[in-house]
Amino acid sequence: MYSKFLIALSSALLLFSLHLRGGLAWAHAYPAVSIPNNGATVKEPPREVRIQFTEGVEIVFSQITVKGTTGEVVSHGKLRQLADDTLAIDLKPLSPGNYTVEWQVLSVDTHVTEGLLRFTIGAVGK
Amino acid sequence: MVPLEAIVSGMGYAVLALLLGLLVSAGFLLPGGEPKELRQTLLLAGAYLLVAFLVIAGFWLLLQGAKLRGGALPSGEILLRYIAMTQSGKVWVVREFYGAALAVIVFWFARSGASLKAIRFVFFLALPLVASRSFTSHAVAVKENTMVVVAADATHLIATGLWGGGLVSAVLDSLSRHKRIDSSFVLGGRDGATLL
Repeated sequence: MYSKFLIALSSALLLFSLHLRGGLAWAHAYPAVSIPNNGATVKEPPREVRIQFTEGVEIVFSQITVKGTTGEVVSHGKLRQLADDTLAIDLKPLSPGNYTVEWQVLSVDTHVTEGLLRFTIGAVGK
Repeated sequence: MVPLEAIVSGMGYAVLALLLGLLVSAGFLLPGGEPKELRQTLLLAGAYLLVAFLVIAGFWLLLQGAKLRGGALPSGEILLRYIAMTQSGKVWVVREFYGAALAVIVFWFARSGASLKAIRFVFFLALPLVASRSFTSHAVAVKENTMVVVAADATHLIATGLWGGGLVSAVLDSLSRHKRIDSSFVLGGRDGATLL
């Protein structure tokens, strides 16, 4: 009696879960949107770099560092969490040139990811 | 190459699946006429599996810390910050305490000879331990309908655990029963020979 009930229950649960898991995304945390955009050339120096990730991230084990052409760090202050998936870091006053954003995050599903973004300050089309 | 973390995580799930299988065998599948000792043996095996789960979870935490240190051995401070300040760390702490409490209960039941109802109760107590994996999986990172996805993932983990663990447990049970039947035949043969 119980064995039949358990077989029916586990089969139903398996079918139900397989159906629902169809739309599950199998990815880690990577930048979905960043301001300034990756590869963008902006006229006005930004006052912060903001990155929205594809998953929620843990600020306590995440970091964003912005560096200039010669490798000097131009970001300062504490990393801020604007939303579950969005981090921001303040910048010193920037002069025209190329900048690299180094990011590393721990996502809520325990994965550590890292990467680079780039932006340029200067006249558009230059 | 499969990362060590994935292997350890898989081992943790396999242990929990086998635990579910043993408990469902002891509490639901064994016929009423089965000797009580068999149920108690299954319960005791379940308790040891829970201890194994706690050890594996401890090793997983060390690996997680090493990941945060770029592969180096993590310091106590890193591990404390991880379990105190991250969502997955807090889930880990709750799961460890819950698993330890459950291990104590199962050991106690195995020693004292728990009733069928108590074994079934323990089976239901073990389900959250399996389902809680969903709170540190990809499911929790899905942005839309997060709770629905987490629930579906937890359901899937329980269902596959019941299926896989139940299958292994059923095979082990029947092997053990065959052995007992074989030895009964041997004993019967000896007794018969003595009578003759």
